[in-house]
Amino acid sequence: MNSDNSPEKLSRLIAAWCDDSITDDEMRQLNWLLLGNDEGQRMFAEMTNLNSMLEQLGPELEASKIVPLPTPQVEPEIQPRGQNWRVVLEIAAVFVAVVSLAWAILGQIGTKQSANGIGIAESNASPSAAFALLTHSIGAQWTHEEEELRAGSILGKQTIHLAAGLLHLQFYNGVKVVLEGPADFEILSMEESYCRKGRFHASVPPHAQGFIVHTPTGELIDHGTEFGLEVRDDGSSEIHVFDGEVSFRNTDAETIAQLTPGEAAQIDELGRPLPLLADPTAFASNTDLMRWYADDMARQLAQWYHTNQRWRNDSRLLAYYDFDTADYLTGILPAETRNPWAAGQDGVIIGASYTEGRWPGKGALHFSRPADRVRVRIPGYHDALTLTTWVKIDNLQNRRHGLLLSDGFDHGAVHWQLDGGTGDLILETRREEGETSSYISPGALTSKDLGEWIHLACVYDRITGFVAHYLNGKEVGNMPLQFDVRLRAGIAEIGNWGFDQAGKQHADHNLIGTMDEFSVYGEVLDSGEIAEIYDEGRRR
Amino acid sequence: MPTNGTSPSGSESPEDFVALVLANQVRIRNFIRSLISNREDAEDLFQKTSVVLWRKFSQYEPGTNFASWAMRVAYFEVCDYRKKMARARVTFSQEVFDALAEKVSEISQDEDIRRDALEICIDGLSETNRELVRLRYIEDLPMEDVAKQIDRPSKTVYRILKQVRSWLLNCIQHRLAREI
Repeated sequence: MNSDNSPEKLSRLIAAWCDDSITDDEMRQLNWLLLGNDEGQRMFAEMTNLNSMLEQLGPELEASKIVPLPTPQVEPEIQPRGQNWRVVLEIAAVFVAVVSLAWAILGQIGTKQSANGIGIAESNASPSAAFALLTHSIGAQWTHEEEELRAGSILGKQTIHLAAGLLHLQFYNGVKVVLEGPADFEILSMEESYCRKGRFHASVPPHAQGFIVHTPTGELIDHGTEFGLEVRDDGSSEIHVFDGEVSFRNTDAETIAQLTPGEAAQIDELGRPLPLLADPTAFASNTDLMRWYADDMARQLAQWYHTNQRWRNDSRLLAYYDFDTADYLTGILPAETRNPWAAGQDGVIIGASYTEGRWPGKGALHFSRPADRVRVRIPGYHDALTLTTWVKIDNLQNRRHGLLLSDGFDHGAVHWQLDGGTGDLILETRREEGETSSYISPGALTSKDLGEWIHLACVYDRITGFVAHYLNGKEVGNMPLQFDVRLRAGIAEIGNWGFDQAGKQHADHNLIGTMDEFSVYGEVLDSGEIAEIYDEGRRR
Repeated sequence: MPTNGTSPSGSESPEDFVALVLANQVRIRNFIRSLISNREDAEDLFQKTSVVLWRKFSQYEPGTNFASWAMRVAYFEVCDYRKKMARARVTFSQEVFDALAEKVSEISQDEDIRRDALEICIDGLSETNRELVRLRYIEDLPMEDVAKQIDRPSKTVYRILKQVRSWLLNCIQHRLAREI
């Protein structure tokens, strides 16, 4: 129903192709999306191959395996496939083959070995050794979208390809670096890095002296100081020292420049230094960065409030909490929406403490103790339910972390949670007979998702018969319904699991982390919409 | 009717041909069908390709990969069809089409594993969704009739089928990853 989100669009177009309902205009778009898109082409081929295999399923899928629907069946008139085939063979048998060598020039179609088989994405495991933390990111644009880093990311030995914007890195030894894009910066260890291109400002505390930055023409050794470095495309560079002492040695180790406060040097592409005066305004310092950061965050927050209006007013909304107006004195978490359907669902805060959300100035609740929870009431029975939230998980202990759990576990109950031991995202429900169904996205969360704002969503859809889990706008699991039941969240808790019928409290289901937005929709939000909510709400 | 039925390899016995085609027809059919969006057209083209394969059978070198050879022949048949189609409908550009043909034939290499996986995965669908697959794919009913039978709007049926296929593909990929 939307969108510019191209994986969603691509899969929609491929589906239309498979159903042979694709229009000319869609066909043009599909062609365009597939042009030079190796992954997309593979997706097309896998999907159309499946489509073809489904058509050739024979007796494997006979009605005997299936409980027919009660509606009277129209006897379809289909020509048994294979009949024509036999005719062809008969005709073929009387043909005498034509000699020709044309096939020899037919090229390599069909003979090429697939290089890597099926592309199950390797999980982006967190780096084995961690050297630094990306604390802030302002207007960052990435050379390769898939290498995007979020504020809070832990950095190991890796290269940062920054197309534009500013990053603030904090090395574990105390060195603070402000990196300005376009930059090509490689972290080698806690003490060593390589700047191929870009500008950066570093503050090196006394105990971390000896911090080395390699450049294309040499290396810069810091002796406890504050300095700026710019490396240009041609490999030439400038070093400005504002405090302490820095030495530069070119690759031949012939020339050594010692720079003291107020001094600077231009290093040409051959590594020869020329003295200059240091210009403190030439580099973004920590202080500048903090100021810009505050401005940027305020702008992002305002922007988010603006774009978020349409979701708050969405008629499908059953309940919406923005956590901004949580009244800690009265313990009320107001349902902030102008949608009358979702009004009057104020939550009651128990324990959880008020804190800062995705941006400074955005409210949030921090859940940590077993008592912390928000009690809510989500009315009605629903054929479809979409749950979404922004959370920052502090740690994943080996147990369940509640997101939204109905009290008890009765018919139609909704239990949305994550498993700390495995990183699984889980939706569980139950029907009268005491049967439980679990919809699990195994290992959806990994350690790299800790300490960062993440967007989680879960869609339950009786109509299509599927449950889908989403992490940061991307589907991470999609599974058929195990049994069909209308959901009834009823009296439920955000961040915990309340009391059972006997009034006993369930231990070890409390969320350990911060939450700053929670929505419940009584209908399906499609993958494009979920990607939009994520994209509009993520901190950049 | 051509009369010069001898070939350098002398491999053109109808029995050999029938055996090879039967053993590989699923792959050949899938190859063609994966590149042609209309089911009937794909089936016609498969029949046509079978005839061409027989005509060119003397060019096939026994012992080499018959499926690859047959798909190369099929590729030209599909190209031909595509050119005719292009007059009436928008089709893929040659560049995209060639890339897709290559991907499709790569995928067909593990056709058997995929088919086995599909049979297992299909059991994971709900009864309603399996019934939908049966009506649409096995019975080959038009979408409107499927919609009537399961008493849902066509739009919903399209949506369900899309979901069902992506789930099945996911399931197949997972099983495949375990095999390899």
